[in-house]
Amino acid sequence: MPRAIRNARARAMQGRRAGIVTRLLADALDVAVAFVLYTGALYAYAVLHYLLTSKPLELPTPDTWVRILVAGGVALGYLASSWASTGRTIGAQVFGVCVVTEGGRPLSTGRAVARALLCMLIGGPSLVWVLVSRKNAAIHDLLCRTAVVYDWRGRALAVADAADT
Amino acid sequence: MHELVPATRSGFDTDGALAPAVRTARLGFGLAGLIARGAFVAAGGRPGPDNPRPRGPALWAGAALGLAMEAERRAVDAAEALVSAGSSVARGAAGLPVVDGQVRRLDAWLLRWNAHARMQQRRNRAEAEAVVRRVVRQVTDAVLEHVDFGRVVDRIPINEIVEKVDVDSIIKRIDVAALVNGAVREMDLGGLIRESTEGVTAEAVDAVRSQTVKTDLFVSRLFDRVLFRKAPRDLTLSAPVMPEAPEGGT
Repeated sequence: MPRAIRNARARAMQGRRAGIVTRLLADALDVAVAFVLYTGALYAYAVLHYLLTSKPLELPTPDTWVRILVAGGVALGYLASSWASTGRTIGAQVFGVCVVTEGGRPLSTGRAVARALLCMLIGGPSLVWVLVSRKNAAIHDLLCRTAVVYDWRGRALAVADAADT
Repeated sequence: MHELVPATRSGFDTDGALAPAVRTARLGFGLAGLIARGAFVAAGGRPGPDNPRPRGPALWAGAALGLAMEAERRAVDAAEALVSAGSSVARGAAGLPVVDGQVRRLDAWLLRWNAHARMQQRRNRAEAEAVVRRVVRQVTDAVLEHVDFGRVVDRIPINEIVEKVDVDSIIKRIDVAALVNGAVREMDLGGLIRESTEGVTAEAVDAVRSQTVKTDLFVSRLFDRVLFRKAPRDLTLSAPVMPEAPEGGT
C-alpha cells in the first residue's frame, strides 16, 4: 500500500498538470541520465573494440555528427522507451510526474517517439510555453496531445489500465 | 497354652459385617498405646525396647490391655454369631410370599427415595460449590485489600539477596552470542534499517516534491498576473487520471 501524501496542497494536485519548475528539474535530471547513458555507450564501444581488435583500451573520439547521432539515438531510445512503457523517465520518477495523453491514457510507441524527437529538437524553447499556457502545456505537448501530470505514487497509468480492463 | 490374642485377630484382616467395628477397636488400642508412650516420654521417661518381663505399673498396664483385647475379641465373636443367626432368620422369612411382597415394595420405596435424595444432593453440591467459590473469592479479595504490598516488598532484603547472587556464574552459563544472534534474527535488523532508511528517503523526496509543486503554483500565478489573467489555469485533463484521494491517502 503506497504511503499517504502529507502535504494537503500536493495531495490535491495529484493527477493535475505539472508546472514549469517541476518539469524543468525533471528534464535536467533526464539530460544528466542521457549523458551518462551516452558515456556508457562510448565505454561499451571502447571495451568491445578492445576485445575484438586487441588495440589499447581508449575512449573513441568520433566526429561531431557521429556524436550527435549517437547521443540523439541514446536519448531518443531512453525517452521513448520510458514514456511508452511506464510514462516516466528517471527524472519524472524522482520529481513525481508522469506523461499521459490528453485523455489520461498511456502513450503509444509512435506518440512517444514523436514526443521524444520534438523534445530533442525544440525541448528548451518548447518548455517555456508552459509559462504562458493556460494548461501548463509545452509546444511538444500541444503537438503530440500529451500532458505531464503530478503522480507521486504512480497511480495515473494504473487507474487508466484498470479503466481499460 | 491358651493364646490371649490369636494370630487370626492380630491385624486388619477381619471381614464380615462387624469388620468396621473391629478396625475401630484396633485403632483405639493403637492410639491408647501411643498416648501412653507419649505420656511416659512427657513425664521424663526414656522409651526403650519392649521388655518381655515388665514390673510394676507396666506389668499392670500390659495385663489390662491384654484383657481388654480378649474382651473385644469375645464381644466381636458373639456379635458375629448373633448377626449370622439374624441373617439366617431374615433370609428364611424373606422367602415367605407375604414377606417377599412387602420386602419388594419396601425395596422399591427405598430406591425411589434414594434416587430423589441423590438428585437433590447433586443440586445441593453444585450450589455449595458456587457458594464456596464466591466465599473464597471474597475472602481472597478482602485479604488482598488489607495486604500492604509496598510494606511487604520493603521488608524483603533485596540488597542482601542480590549480594548473595553470583551474577558472574549466571552470566557464564548464558550463551550471550546465541542470545544476541536469536534476538537479531527475530528483530530482522536488516529489514528494520531498510524500512527506516526507505521511510526517511521517501519523506525527503516528498519534501522536495512538495517544494517544487509550491514553486510551480507560485510561478504560474506570477505569469498569470503579468499576463493580466484573472481566471485560474485549467490543470485538469479531459478525463481524470486518478480518482479523488481521500484525506491522508493517495
